[in-house]
Amino acid sequence: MTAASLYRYVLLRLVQLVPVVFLIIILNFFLIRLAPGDPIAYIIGDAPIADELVADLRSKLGLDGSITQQLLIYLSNVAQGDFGFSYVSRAPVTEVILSRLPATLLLMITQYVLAIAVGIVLGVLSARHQGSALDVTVTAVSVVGYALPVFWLGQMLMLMFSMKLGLFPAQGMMSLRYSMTPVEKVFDIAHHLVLPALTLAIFNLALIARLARANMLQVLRLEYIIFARSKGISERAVVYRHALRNAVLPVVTVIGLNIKTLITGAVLTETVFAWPGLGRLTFDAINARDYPVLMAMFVFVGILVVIANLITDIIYAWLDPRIRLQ
Amino acid sequence: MSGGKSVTALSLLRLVPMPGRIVAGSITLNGRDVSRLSDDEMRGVRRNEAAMIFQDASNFLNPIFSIGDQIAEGIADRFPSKRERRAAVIEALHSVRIPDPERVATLYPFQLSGGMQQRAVIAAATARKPSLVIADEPTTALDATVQFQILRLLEELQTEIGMSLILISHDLAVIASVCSRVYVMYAAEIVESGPTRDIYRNPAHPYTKALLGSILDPLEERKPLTILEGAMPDLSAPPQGCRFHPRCPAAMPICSQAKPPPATISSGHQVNCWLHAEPAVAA
Repeated sequence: MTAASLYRYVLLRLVQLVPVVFLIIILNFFLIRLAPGDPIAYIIGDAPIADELVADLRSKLGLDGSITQQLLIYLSNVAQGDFGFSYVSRAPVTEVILSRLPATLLLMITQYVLAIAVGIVLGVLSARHQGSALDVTVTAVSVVGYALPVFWLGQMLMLMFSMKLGLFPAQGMMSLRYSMTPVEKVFDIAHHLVLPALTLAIFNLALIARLARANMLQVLRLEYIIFARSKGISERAVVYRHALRNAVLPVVTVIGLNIKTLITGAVLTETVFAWPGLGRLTFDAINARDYPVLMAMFVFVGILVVIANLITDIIYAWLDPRIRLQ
Repeated sequence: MSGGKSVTALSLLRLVPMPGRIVAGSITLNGRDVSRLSDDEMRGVRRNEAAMIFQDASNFLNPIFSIGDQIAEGIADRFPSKRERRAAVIEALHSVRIPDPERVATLYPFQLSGGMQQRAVIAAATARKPSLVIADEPTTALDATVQFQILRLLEELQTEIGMSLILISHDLAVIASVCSRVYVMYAAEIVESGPTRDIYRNPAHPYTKALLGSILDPLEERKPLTILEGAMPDLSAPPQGCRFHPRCPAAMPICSQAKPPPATISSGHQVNCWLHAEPAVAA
């Protein structure tokens, strides 16, 4: 693929985002409103309020027209880049999401880098020493790690490492101290990051390690590995150049497909650890029936998934000439 | 890679995949017992002395590396400079009669035809100027015209590089046209060996006779073919005595009891068969 054709390909895929986002909005708009619960009930709580005031609030929030009318208004607003205001905080939704984004990105990138790096290394070592104590351990631990529910694992880690051992803080992203030098602040955030990142990483790590091991075992049995060996090159070159690059191809696909679980996993983990990111924002918005925030989150995740798939395809093409040149 | 021949071929370069291993015997190449070398020394042998060509080149080329890269890595220690190495790669592709070698070096295996892929594998083997090339059914996956071209190429390279060629094949016509000396194997054991002419004109072992009897003769269409009853034995539990005795039309009581000793038919022509055993040994 030449630079020009790559550019055209990326552009085409980005244009395809428009109908995808359109569909995401329509589906989720109805889905959210089909769910039981009413934002008005959440806002007024148990207070005895006159029906006129409720009707007034309803019209102020744009919830008084028919559902199709509401959808059309919403679509035209979104087309102008306006995602509305949060029912709860009254702040513009875009602002709310952007303010929460860095915390989630930090958590996600940390855990995913950890899971990919350690997962591939463990998978490869496991495959190279099939049947060894390391292999047996990795296989057993990854089955367990893959099966554990994230919220339970988070609570157990919290119980163990912060309640019992007091090694890591259990809640939040930083300490409530004002006088911190920038360096102290970085360490403080890193300290808070350990448990939630670990909680999320274990699942992905288990998945990636198992996948890398299985692919590596399969590739190491193929004829082109024998051919590579027959050339007298080092075993390291055989394993890491010839086998690994072929074995990671399916891993790349799964990593790309799993980007979406980064957000769903974040909802649970961020809630357990009171991490001030998008996951908890989504959780709170669901509880409060904060429709504008929820809608914007779904659109955001939709775009993220499409872009993640695009990046996966580009990496795939870069790794595999059969994709790149056909 | 199921047959005894291919496993034997891989064993020669100690390439049998796990859990396979060499249990007994020795392999002598250029005066050294290859089976006793360290893994590192063995890699040296593969780089400098002996190379291998395989049956289905499309499976033996790594799909994600260019042809040039796959040839270059085998000669990296000989040509440390990138430019010299590239020149050597082009030269190797040229020597296997690949047209436009500069362009082909940048192509990937899936962009080449089967015959071209096999030439590329041969180029990777001969680029190292080995003294021995082991070719395991190098033409079986190719159609007849390409088969002929590849065989001629191997013969020409033999004289150009001065390499010896071990050709593993079940194609009796191919063997007759390429080889000077033949080893007939049955169930992973050599049963007869000798100059090609002697083997074809004067086969001594019942298995060799049956093999030659299975050739279709275009001039004598009605000639009945020799048929061997039974199937190949399970090599993890081979028959006692002569491994061929359960299927042998001339089997005798002794054949199931003891391995036949080698007997000489004529100069350089040996057979392992009780039919030809010296009376003194048989007694």
